[in-house]
Amino acid sequence: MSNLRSFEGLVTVREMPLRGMITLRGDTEVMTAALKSVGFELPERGMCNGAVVWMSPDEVLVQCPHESVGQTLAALQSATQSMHALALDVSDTRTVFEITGAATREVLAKLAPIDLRSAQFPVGKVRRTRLAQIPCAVWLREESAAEAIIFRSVAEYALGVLQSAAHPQAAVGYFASNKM
Amino acid sequence: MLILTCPNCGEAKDETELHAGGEAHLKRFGPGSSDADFEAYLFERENPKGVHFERWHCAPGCGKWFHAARCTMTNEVFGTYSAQTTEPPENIKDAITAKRPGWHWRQFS
Repeated sequence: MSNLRSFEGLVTVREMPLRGMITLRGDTEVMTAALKSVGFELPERGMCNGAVVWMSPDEVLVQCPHESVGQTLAALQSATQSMHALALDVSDTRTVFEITGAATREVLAKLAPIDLRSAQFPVGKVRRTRLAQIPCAVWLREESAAEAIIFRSVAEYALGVLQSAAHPQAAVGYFASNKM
Repeated sequence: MLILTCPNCGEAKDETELHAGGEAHLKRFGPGSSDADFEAYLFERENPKGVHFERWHCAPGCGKWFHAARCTMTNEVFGTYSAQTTEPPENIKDAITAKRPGWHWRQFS
């Protein structure tokens, strides 16, 4: 994939290569059982445990390599066959941006109305929010690296707002000067 | 800025992350009901200066609805609670009573 968008400023913004993403909906027990069948665990409320991203009380997003999405989907569907549940491949609907650099929290704080202090937004915490005017799910993979899932149709907009927020001359320094 | 905590996902959300859904605890009057009931259901709304109950949608968040009790004059939030109820729970009523003794709203007080 050579047409992946990227930008370097206060942070590096990079569109990630295709990733397998499956929406799984159902009750906690149903989701736990289905995830177990493909070797994953249900994350705690509001958390991301690497592969599985908590979305709402009855929804998680399962991430897997794009090549194996069909296989994982089939496994999830057969595990939930007799239950009230939904497993759906949404890989092509969404895209993932990776935001890396010391100013990651700061750049996100300019775009999303969420509390990005580390006590409120630790590594692994998932927040579904908005990035300027578009919906997004964001979490910190590590202290200075975030991943944001957004709808592919508005990827250009997302890159645009991230670029303005990460403009080299637009540093605020809030998180650098306030160790919280 | 109004900040409400969604009881479904547990996140504190400011009003730009939420969608207002109008008055809470309306009872639907549909086909077969009297004209007066239907009219009241469609059009008659509270417009209080003070304690108010509203529905909110955690729109770009968990996508669930919830209820909130707040004061329309000060924007003080008394609490948020599940949408799966037809009346405010006791703890919410108690929280309001502590701050606004003698409050009433429709049939609740």
